[in-house]
Amino acid sequence: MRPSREARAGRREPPFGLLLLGLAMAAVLAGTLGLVSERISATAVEGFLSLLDSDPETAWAILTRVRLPRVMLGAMVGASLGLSGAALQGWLRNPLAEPGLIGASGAAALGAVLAFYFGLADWVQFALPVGGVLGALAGLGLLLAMVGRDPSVLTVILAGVAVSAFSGALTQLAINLAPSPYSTLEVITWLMGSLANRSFDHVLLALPLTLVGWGLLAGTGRALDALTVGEDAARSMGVSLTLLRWRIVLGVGLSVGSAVSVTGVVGFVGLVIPHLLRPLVGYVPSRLLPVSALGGAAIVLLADVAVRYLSPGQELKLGVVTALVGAPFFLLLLMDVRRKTQ
Amino acid sequence: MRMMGIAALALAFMISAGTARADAPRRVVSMNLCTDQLVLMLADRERIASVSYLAARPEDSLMAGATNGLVLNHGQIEEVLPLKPELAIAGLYTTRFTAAILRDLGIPVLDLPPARTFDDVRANIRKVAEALGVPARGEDMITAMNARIDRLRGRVARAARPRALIYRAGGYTLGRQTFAGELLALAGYENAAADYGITEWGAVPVEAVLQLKPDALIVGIYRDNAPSLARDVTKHPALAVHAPRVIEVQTRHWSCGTPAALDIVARLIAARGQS
Repeated sequence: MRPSREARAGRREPPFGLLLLGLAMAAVLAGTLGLVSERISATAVEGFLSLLDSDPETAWAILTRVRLPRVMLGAMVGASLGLSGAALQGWLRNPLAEPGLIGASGAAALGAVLAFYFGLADWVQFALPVGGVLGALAGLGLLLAMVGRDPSVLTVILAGVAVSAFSGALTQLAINLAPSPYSTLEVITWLMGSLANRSFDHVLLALPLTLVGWGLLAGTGRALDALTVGEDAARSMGVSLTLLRWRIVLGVGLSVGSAVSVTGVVGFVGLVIPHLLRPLVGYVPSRLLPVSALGGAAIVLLADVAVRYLSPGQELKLGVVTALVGAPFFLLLLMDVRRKTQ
Repeated sequence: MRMMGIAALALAFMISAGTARADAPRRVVSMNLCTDQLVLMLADRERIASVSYLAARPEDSLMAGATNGLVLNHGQIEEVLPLKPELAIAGLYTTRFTAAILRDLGIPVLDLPPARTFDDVRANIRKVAEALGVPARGEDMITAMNARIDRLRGRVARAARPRALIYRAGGYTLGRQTFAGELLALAGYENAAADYGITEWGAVPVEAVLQLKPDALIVGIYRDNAPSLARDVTKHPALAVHAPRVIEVQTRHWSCGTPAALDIVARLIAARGQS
């Protein structure tokens, strides 16, 4: 149920439409920056804007075949992470729920690595996102089995740690047994998360399952709103909690699983973004969903521009940067949660 | 490819002038892919006690055919000691623990640095041949290698120098100051990595490859069948924009500095002739 208009009028929050528009514009702006941003590291390589004058043909090829898929993928992954974070936090009524922290991302990475090293991905390309999705779903399933009917803040996080640790161990086992020593280095770098050197093949690979996931999550708004007043009240309002659980688990599994399978693990976006935006939508879960999707896209695109500026040449990995920013945020949040529960 | 290894072996035996000195070590253990191949080329077969397991893998080694019947080791001290080696040969940066213990036990250990230039290759051949007690064979091998280098150099002396970029899984390239770079230069190519400021080793993003516009992309393939995520980069569709010639090369040919690496130079020269 939405808080009454009076209750919300007390806080200064921007009109919902304006907020959506602003975030969409931020995402488009970040995407445009991602398309044209300069990245000069060496003698014979020019920045994009000067290349536009001196060699428009190459500049065009770079724009359409390298930068555009990179930006599209960044927007997709960011939106998936923001949306999933918002949905999970609303459903578990837990401010610390996030695809990475509850182990879904790690399990998705395991699924993708397995699909790869058993050669399934050579056989059918689609095996990669399917592997990622199955991994994420398995991770979420394990989490739910451990949490049971007690989704308290700490239980969920502890179960998430267990799922992360287990899938991490299995991923390391897969790396350990990988057929080629180079794959060790390769998987480790891939796990750091990056949008570099991706093509439209990757976009097309991840898009279908991602869209299905988004569709499932987008439809949970009303039920999440009802849930804010408690499970029994929600049930009395005709919300099927079983249906909600399936929608969210499948939605997160599909969108996060396919995102991880093409970009590796980009952590903490699903934690930070819904948190920063929640006050701006008056703590209404249904409004937080679209806003977090746009915010996630904007922040991942910005971070991807940042990695190119921060260290040209030896490009920082996107996942490393989001974790460096996100982990301290997580600690602050944890202290906040502790203060409130004491 | 196996045939090439056997050919290299046959060549090694042909140039095997002179017999081993009386005090030459009788049980030689090599623990590094690169030293393995030199030992297999230079030593009397009955004096080789063991080579590393990598030497027997056709996807890693040019001498895999020559390892039949030899004990294969993984560089573990438990495997090496029972062989009672009179000489152990190791790479300067590999199996350090085993090499240190062998040395403590008074077993002579030869550490061989990886070769980055043909001068390094000559020095390594000399060291191994000397340690094996067959210095004349080493000199013969060097003479044969020098003659082949001169012939290859003659083939490209007056030809134009196309620009090539070595491109490997993950988008990594090798610059002038690597053994692969040395082979590329001998085959008469300019190394385009230099234009990106890389002289040794580094990553080149796809968009930089588009700007560098190399005439040829030399794609290093480690194992044909081993799936590898990073291989995707070498197949990025944007790389076809300027339609560089793609020359696929098995990385085992340049991973070790031995005379057999010259086979790859001949291939690279032949590939440029097709343009």
